Amino acid sequence: MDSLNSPRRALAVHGLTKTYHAQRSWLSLKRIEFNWSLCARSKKIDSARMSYLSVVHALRGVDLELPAGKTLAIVGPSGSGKSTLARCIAGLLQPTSGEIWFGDQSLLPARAAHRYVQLVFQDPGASLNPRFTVADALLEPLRAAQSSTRSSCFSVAEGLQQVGLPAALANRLTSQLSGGQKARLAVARALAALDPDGPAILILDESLGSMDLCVRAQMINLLVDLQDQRALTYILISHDVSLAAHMADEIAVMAEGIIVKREPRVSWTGISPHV
Amino acid sequence: MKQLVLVPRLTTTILIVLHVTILLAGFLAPYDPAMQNRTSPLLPPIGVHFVDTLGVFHLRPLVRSAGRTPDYPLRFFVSGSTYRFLGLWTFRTHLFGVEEPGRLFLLGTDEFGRDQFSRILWGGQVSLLIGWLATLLALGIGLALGSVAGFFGGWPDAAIMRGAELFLALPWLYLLLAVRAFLPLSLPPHATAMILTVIIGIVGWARPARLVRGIVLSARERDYVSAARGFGASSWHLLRRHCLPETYTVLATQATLLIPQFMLAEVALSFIGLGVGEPAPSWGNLLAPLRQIPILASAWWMMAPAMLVMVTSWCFLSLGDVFVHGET
Amino acid sequence: MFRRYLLRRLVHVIVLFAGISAFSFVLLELAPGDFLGEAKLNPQMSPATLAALREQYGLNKSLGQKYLSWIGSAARGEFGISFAYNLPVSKILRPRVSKTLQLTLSSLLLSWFIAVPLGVWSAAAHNGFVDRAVGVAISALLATPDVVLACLALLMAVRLRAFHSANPVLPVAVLTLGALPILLRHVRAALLDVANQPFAQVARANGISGAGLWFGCLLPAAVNPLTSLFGLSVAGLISSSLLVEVLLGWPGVGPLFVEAIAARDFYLVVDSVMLSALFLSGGTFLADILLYVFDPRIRMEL
Repeated sequence: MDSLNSPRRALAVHGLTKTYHAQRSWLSLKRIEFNWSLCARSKKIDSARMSYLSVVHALRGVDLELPAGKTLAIVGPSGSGKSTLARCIAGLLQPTSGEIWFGDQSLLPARAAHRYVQLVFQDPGASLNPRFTVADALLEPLRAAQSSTRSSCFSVAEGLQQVGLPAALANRLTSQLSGGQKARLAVARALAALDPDGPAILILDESLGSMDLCVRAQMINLLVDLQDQRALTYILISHDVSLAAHMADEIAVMAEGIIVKREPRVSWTGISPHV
Repeated sequence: MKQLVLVPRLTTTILIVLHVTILLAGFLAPYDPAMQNRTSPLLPPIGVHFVDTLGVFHLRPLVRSAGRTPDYPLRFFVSGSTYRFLGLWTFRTHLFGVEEPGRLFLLGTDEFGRDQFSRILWGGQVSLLIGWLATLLALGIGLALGSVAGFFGGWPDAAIMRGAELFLALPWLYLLLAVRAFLPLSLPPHATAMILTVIIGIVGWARPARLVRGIVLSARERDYVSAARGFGASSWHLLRRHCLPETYTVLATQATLLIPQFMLAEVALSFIGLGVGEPAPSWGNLLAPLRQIPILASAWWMMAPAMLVMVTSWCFLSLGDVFVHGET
Repeated sequence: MFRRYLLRRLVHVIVLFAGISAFSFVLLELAPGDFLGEAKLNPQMSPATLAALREQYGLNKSLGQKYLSWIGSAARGEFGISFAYNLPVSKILRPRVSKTLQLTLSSLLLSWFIAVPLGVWSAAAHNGFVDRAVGVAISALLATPDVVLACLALLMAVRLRAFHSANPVLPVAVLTLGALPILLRHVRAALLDVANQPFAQVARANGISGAGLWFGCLLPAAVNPLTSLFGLSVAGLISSSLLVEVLLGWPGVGPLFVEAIAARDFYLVVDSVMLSALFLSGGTFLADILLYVFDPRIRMEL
């Protein structure tokens, strides 16, 4: 597995499950609404007042292996568990069971996952604190992780330059940036948080969906360039199959908490034509 | 509009002047607040004149004398009773005064013959200090507990909110008096002032705490907090850098509401005799003699502390309005 | 549905009262000195008599025993004994409660009856002369503490030789004037908020105007914040009524409470505190019922 000729493995996930148990408080009068498409009830109910416990299986044993330097796209309908998978890998959610391996290390609980994998949110602008300056936003991962060695050798100007932003923006407030600039800043911040030595995985959770075509095209070019320069590994989560087909090396389809199909791009047959 | 800009400037100026004046109470007050003059109880205000009894105009203000002696000139920077500035340094110089046995009672005297003008200045120190310190205490406790409740949720949230409910379920004056009841009835005035500050502050933490909790709760759900969590930020970092800065405006507005409210709580308590006691003056116990109808009906100058209380309240509340409606 | 809600509220209130009573007991237990503290200084009283009196009043019991005996007394309807009056507390409080309720309820109704139409008028004539005049009056009244208002009213009454302790006009007037500014401000603000919403613009476009618009259309929409204000106004009114009763000599719960504190009359203090909490809970409960009656959305949810 670790021979010098075969590509290094960036990420491996074995048997990842995530189960939600929703308890209804005995004093409440309204029933809790679930927005998951799949919902297994432990008791048959005619009206929700009688149910006490409801179980939601968001991920049902996901297995995944990702070679370094490649892009994997995960597509699927709403409620299939894509975002849950992303958050579990990124360490934002604690999976119920399963293992996550980064490079050669297993990390569970995924506390230190932030050094190896970063999530870029659906609305990159909203993931930036409007009161922060651009420099603050870039330096925040280093301050938060309290790694003094890394923060001293990090340069804000370099970080901005990497994503094509002028260094003069460093003192602007993030709320004063345009949408495209905010997206670039979010990527720059994610890169700043990643450990340059380990497997560097960037998860784009529907991040390109809310942009207009021009900005989206620029972002795609930027991401491709960065991948070449820094050997990043991407997981692209999207509704948009044509975008996935454009950017990714492999496409995986998720439905109802598991991966049902995985194909390299060249032999992609498509699930439903998207224009 | 010019009119709109006027109000915050006016109120801030008045407040600054008021606070500086009261800070310099020892210097500006001609007499010691505890000094009694049993021979001149309940005198109306004795003003200054520029024309003496013989009809001659003087540049220096004069104070009429009681008997056939000539009028007493008003002198500046006189040496009088000792006082302490900020409790640390002792001085003897007063801004103005008259020679003995001339008496300068700018706002009259109370039933013990004590100069009301001096007492009001010194009393202001007590009332305003209690207002400010109690507010700081209440906001401090409210901030701490509210952010813990809002950020961590779960059982700390439930416990703190139930506690807040307990404090809010009682009308504030009843609660204050109940807490006051558990203290000895007569305490030395300085101890009373401090204890009053503490209990007024402690009783008032609930409403700011609820506000802070709401803000922290909504800030916690923002994407940038999740992103920061994704960098491995500790809870303290998230609270400090992302959630708490959202609370500062609200806390400032709350301060402008609470300072007058707590000052009024002290006034109310001292007025009914359960606050700062004799002989230390406070705006509340300066108004206490008005409970006797003969004094209320005839000694109108005793209402002067009420004017100051009203002006202070109005200034703080107007300032609060400006915060709420944005800078004008 | 509504019955369930009422039940939940009742349980909540009972738990709250248990908490308040425990809190008050602990607080008063920590108080240095008790009712017989003063008597100790009297040289004519021998220590033996003092000890016997202590025993009789039950001042020697532990906190837990005191609490339990109080609950037993409450079950009997007595709610403890007042040391100063040597009577069951309920007997002493009952006439006072009705007096305080007279004041509080009258001022509550009066202040709301003045605040709502005046607030509507202010909002309708937004930035007109009436609005500005009312605004100035509100600021002035808001800055005036109840203490000062009561003194001024008393002064006026004495000058006019019209003052009499038993006359409710003066206390009610003072309480109403004290409560009015906040109510007016919030009513006006709530109505202005509602008046800018799309449905109000549609109503105006359809030709609804004047009193019909404001009272029929906009006021019902603003009912939600106003009912929560109702609960708060009750709280403020109860505190103010304590002061006003003490100042104007109205024989309500207030003066008794202050007296009991000074005399360290344990059970009287605790029961007065509980009573004030009861009034407040009653007020908020009333506010919830009003909300249920006036806001169809709450009816649907429940």
